[in-house]
Amino acid sequence: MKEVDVKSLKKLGMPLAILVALVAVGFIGFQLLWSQINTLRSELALSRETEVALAAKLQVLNDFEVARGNLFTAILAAIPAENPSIMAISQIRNKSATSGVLVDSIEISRATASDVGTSYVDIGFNVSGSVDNVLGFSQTLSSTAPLGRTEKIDMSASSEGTTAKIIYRVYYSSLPDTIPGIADTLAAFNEDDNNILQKLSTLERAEVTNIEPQAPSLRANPFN
Amino acid sequence: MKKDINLLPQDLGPNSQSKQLNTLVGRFALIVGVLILLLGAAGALFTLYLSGSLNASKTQINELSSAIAEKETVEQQYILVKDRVDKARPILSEKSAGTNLSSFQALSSLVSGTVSVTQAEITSDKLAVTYEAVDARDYLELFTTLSSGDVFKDVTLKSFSFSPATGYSASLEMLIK
Repeated sequence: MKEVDVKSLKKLGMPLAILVALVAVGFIGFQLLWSQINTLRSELALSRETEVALAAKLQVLNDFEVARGNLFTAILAAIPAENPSIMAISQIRNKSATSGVLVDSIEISRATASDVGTSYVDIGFNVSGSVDNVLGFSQTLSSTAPLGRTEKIDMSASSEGTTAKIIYRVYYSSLPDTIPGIADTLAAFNEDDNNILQKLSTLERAEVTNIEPQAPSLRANPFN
Repeated sequence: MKKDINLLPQDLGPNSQSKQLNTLVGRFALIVGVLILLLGAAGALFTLYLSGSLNASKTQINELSSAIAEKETVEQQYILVKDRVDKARPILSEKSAGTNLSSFQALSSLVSGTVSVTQAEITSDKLAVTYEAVDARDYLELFTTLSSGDVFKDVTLKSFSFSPATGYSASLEMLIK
């Protein structure tokens, strides 16, 4: 009886061995396949995320390219990269002429770095004229580029007219020296940004006269 | 009539139970094998699909990266404009003497009679104004309007004096809301 069982077991051995081998191969194979699938899925998810971010970035750049016009020049004039005192004085002179006030005793302070990444220069000057003209002049200054704010107005009125000591602060900031990586996202301008852009781009720019170099000319008398 | 003849003795031949077990194990092995093959094929197909999608996505990324790289100048300008907007925000949002000019003008429109402004200091948070009037009663309207208005959060009468030459002089300091 025992001999028969051993024989039966021997006959059963082959299919059992095949079954065990199949299960083992299947298990290892599925482990490998599953890990491969997981790796691919995570890579694909990351890749699609990058794709969406890049597409959004390209869209932002395309929109900006269409809308920019002279924005870049206007914004750079509003907050220049270097000390804009000369430009500001030019604007003060121009506006004083159109507002009917006299400007004198112009003083420029040393540049100071602010805690918001900009630097500023205080320009102090005296203005004289009628009260309305002096006030009108102070208001028009804020509509000029470079971006500035009237910090203090010290006004005194007499029978001869009004004189005011005004401190006008103009800002500048160095240019950003890095651009984000290709895959880094760019945030589109929101409503608040657009309002600021609108304000900056409508600031009146100082007119700068460029003198073109002239070609040398022959003179009959070189000593005259 | 067909008949199965087993010439082996019953003891030497495989018993029917072990035969059944043998068949069962064989069939089970077959089913497992087929299942492994089917699942393996499905897994391989899915892997191929994922690889294809990944390749397509990478191609798309390369194309987008090239398109962005071509717009480097636009990107530089965008970064600069964005930088300027971020830096202008605190400057524009803070109060300044300039923004208080309208309050001063509104205040100036309140003076009547012999009252006149002789001195004014306008800063971002306050107005300090000195008035002169021949008749002290002329201040009444100004003071009444100031005390009932909602432009200033605090109005302080810093000094009030009389001079025979110029009349009544009043210095007010007003903190703006």
